[in-house]
Amino acid sequence: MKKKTFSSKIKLAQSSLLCAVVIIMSFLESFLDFAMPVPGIRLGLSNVMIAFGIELLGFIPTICIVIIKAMFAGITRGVTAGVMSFLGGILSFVAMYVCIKSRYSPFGYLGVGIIGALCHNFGQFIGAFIIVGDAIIAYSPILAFSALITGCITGISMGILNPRLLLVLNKTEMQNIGA
Amino acid sequence: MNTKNNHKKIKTFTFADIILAVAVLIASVLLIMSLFHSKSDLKVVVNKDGKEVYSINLQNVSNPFEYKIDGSISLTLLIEHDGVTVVESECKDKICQSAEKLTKSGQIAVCLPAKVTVKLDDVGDNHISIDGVAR
Repeated sequence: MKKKTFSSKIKLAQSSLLCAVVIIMSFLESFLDFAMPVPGIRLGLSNVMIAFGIELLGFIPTICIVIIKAMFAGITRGVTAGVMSFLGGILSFVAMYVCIKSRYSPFGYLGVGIIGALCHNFGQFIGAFIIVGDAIIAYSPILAFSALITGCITGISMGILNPRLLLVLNKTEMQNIGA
Repeated sequence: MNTKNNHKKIKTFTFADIILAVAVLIASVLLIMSLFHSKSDLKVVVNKDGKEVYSINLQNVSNPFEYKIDGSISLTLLIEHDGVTVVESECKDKICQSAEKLTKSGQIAVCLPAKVTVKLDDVGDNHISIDGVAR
């Protein structure tokens, strides 16, 4: 029982830390906007941390992080940005969760990154479609193509970062519980 | 504790990833090719709240002029013979402004906070994007 409360406290601390990292990443990313070749397209670096959250913490804590991130976008960049972030975030979270957790998923981190980016853009596309109507369809190939590029970047980052982070965290957790 | 050992090992690359990447690449290139085809007769279509509020055939534009889209967030367009540019926006994101000059059919500048889209279409083609996909 003692061990269980200890590990749940660790989980809470990890969730809050991850949430802060996700928010900071999405905030810093807004400074990269000028470097993007297509207006309105963002790199989606926070997807790396969302995927890490799925692996480390599971469904509920990570979906909370996604919702808090959307609320942060809503507060700092307006209601439209918040709704778009929510739609894209939830959709890409569910897709990545299935890809990472499913026994039958054939995808590696690269695929998870691409699918996450595609679903994120698709969620935002749905939001934009509701707001401005069918003229936005012309934007869809650009969204798909940019999701491929940004998805590759985030996917490779996941491949480099996530296994190492998990290893380090599991080691320290083992030490703490053993102590 | 339960998160420790039950997550499966995920590889960085798998064969399925490569197939997925190639499939997305081909699909988006095909979509881009079918949507952005340049023709001589273009028209500017401005939509606000999903309804068309303004449209003009670029063939009829001899001198460049500015057109203002009024609303809670107003935008100013520069309409020229060969294309259209969003030159000013009251919106703080300025995403539509960074779209630069639209010169090809199917190109679009979007301002979500103002609920405005500015699009170039072929003349006599009301739903270019849908036709473009079906073609």
